[in-house]
Amino acid sequence: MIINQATNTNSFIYCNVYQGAHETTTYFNGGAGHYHRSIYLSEGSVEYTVTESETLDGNEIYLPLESGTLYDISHTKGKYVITRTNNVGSVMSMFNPIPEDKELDIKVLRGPLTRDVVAEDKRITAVCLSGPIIIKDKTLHSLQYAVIFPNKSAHLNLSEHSLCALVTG
Amino acid sequence: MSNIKIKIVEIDQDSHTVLVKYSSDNSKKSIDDYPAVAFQTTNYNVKNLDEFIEAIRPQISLYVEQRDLAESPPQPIDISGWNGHEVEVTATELSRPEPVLDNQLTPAQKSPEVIL
Repeated sequence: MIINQATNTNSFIYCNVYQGAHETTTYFNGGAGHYHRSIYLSEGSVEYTVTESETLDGNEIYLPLESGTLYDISHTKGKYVITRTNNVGSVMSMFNPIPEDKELDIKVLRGPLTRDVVAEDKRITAVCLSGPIIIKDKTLHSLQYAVIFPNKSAHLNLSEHSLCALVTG
Repeated sequence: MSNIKIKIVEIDQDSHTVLVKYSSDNSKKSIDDYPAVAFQTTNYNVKNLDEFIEAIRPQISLYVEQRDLAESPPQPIDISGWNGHEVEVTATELSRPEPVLDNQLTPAQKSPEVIL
């Protein structure tokens, strides 16, 4: 697994990783900044299983995760998560709340799309998962982020195939 | 640097697979007494047999070295007279990672946050 980037937005950490084909990784999903609350697959596919122990007995049932989908994996908190790929690798983005019990509302938008984003009582962080995208006339390249503070708004412009996560909280 | 022998013992044209046996001057058995390994020619950007041999040569060299080492593990040497020996030598130059230049960074690595 290659960690392309891990960025702290002061509300959560987002990290972007690549897991190659025929690769298996084990991750303990817990700890401030380390707990993956949600995961989004930008490309490829991966399957996962959850165990109480790092040691596997071979009877684990693996569930598939498909690209283009945001998954809530809060049920894996404090457990070991084993991800494995088959013939294709996978590009994944994880969202880790700080502190780990902080509630995050995450939506992933795919371009082409234009939209006004309004932050009410909580800030909204726009994370460019695949760019570039334009927000409030500023360009965000892949893995850059911008914060829309409470009671502020911003116009979002996503070109075709671009991806943007809007994280409220 | 010792020589290695490479012998093609089977081919499968349908799967473009070549079965290869190998040995070195240090190998304990004859080349035919070792198991073969399979190489798929489509995994290599080669146009003929010579290029194929050249492409697999590094891998075979590693295989044969490791197998020879397993067959003839290094023997312990006599260290009984080493205690108290003192010597001054030139330090080995250690390789240092090249510094990352600014123009090698992505925009997100240079500046993760864009202020609106």
